[in-house]
Amino acid sequence: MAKFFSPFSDRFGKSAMFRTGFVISMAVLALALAGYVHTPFPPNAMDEGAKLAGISAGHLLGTDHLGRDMLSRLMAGTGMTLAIAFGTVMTGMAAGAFIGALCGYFGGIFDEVMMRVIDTLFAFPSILLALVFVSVFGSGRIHVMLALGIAFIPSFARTVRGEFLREKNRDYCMSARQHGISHMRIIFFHILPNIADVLISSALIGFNNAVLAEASLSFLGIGVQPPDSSLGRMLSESQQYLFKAPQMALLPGIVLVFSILGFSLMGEGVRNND
Amino acid sequence: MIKKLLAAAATLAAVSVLVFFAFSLIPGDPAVKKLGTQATPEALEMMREKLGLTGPLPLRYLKWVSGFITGDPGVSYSYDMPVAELLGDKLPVTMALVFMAFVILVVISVPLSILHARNEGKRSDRVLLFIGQGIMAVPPFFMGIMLTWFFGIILKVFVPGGYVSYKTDPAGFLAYMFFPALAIALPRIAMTVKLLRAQILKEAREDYVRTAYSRGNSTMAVLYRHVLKNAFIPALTFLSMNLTDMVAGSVVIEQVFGIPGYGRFLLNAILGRDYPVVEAIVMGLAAFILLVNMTADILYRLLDPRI
Repeated sequence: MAKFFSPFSDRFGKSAMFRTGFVISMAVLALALAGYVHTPFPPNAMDEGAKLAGISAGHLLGTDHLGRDMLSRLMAGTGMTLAIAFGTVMTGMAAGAFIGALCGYFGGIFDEVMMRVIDTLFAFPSILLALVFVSVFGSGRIHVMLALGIAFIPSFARTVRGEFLREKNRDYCMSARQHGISHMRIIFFHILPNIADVLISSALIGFNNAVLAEASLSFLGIGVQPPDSSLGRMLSESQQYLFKAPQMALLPGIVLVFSILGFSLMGEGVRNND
Repeated sequence: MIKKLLAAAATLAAVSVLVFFAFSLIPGDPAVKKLGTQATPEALEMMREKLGLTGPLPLRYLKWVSGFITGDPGVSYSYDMPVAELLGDKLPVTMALVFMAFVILVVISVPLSILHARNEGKRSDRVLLFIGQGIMAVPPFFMGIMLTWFFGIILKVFVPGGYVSYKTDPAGFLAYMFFPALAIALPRIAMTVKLLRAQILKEAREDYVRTAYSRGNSTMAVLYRHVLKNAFIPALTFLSMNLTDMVAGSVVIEQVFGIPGYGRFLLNAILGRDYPVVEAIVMGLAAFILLVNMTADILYRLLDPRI
């Protein structure tokens, strides 16, 4: 019980955490990037003679229920999931940072109204927001990216607004204003670079949530549409064959877990460094 | 308090305006969808009249809102039945699922985080941290698939897809719900334990703890009478957030385990463009989320005399 008051909170090395996460993420990224360049088979090509085949020299990870090469689909699917997640974070961060910056910097009635809206949206779990937006926009990969991007705006806007509230009264901003530098220039060229670390850490967390959200939506059948492959899509297709071919579920699932684990470890490492 | 209530009501009103107009402005005519493109203009007009799609938008909005308040949020396009009636037998299913998951969450994570914090720095602490980080990375629906595979197909503890209605067999229903509830709860348990552990350790370093010790209290007394009380107050907000997230997450889990709750219904409504159903569910969820947040707020005030 003496240990209860140990002044060292976590001895599970922070940098070790970041490094582990980095290695895992790079492995997943390599799988996806390799898939963009070359896949052993075309990911949507069906091999009539080899449905639900096991591991063989031809199909390294076997085939799915339509005789499509699992490894190729896994590579293409990981690429699709990561690309959508990247697009989602970029959309959400660009719009969210813009709104948050204006709200935090100028304040006033615009801030008041905007924040009410953002807070309301923030109360909704982002998967629900995405569901609503998908039902307005329709499904498909571009729509999913847009829907998720919008669903991610509130969290970015809140974070950035908080940072701007703190930064705008710092000396360097005051002096910039006294020098007659325009507000827009101060916002985007003076303050924004100063909060880059906060943005990066929330982008990492956001990326994770985006991977998870894409997988969930595609799993539900309203995300990426067949015959395109994505990790969620593959998991959704695997469900009926869980008895005959559990690897159809386990393979994309494990890649999904690793991609989330890698980025969360990295985010954790970045956040705890200061 | 009254101010909070008013704010919540205003938020709900704003959500209702957004939801209604967003779904009204989606291109496509539900009447055409229902009758096909070959329908005569007269028939289409009659169908629009029947679906309540005529008249100016603001008037239609008022009608919809007043219907919602009186418990009649409209008629489903695809089933030709009142939405309230359709939802009636699906909501209890989801509520049971989420309630079970929440109970599992609290029952496991509270003792575990206390144990975890007491063993801080020891090997078991580090192992748990590591396992927790791993479990957090598993999406609930993949957790569900793995539970189905392991307990359903390999160990044959339950029949995958063998849902039984709570009306015919309440015990069987609860038994079937256990694994879905576990799938929802597990990743959240990992998150909650991590947060609570950090909270307990943070409180343990406060001055009042040293004072309590110096007054001759035992570790147990300090832990249970002082530290835990303070550590749990911030956790309340987190738990309430978990509750709303679990309701959202059950959409996916219901799909994994073939449970006919509101999630599946919502999904089919989205795919079938059955807007009255989508609108009603979204509004219901908004009301639920606001209610949970307000309850957490009130509890917070009751527990923490400083506020």
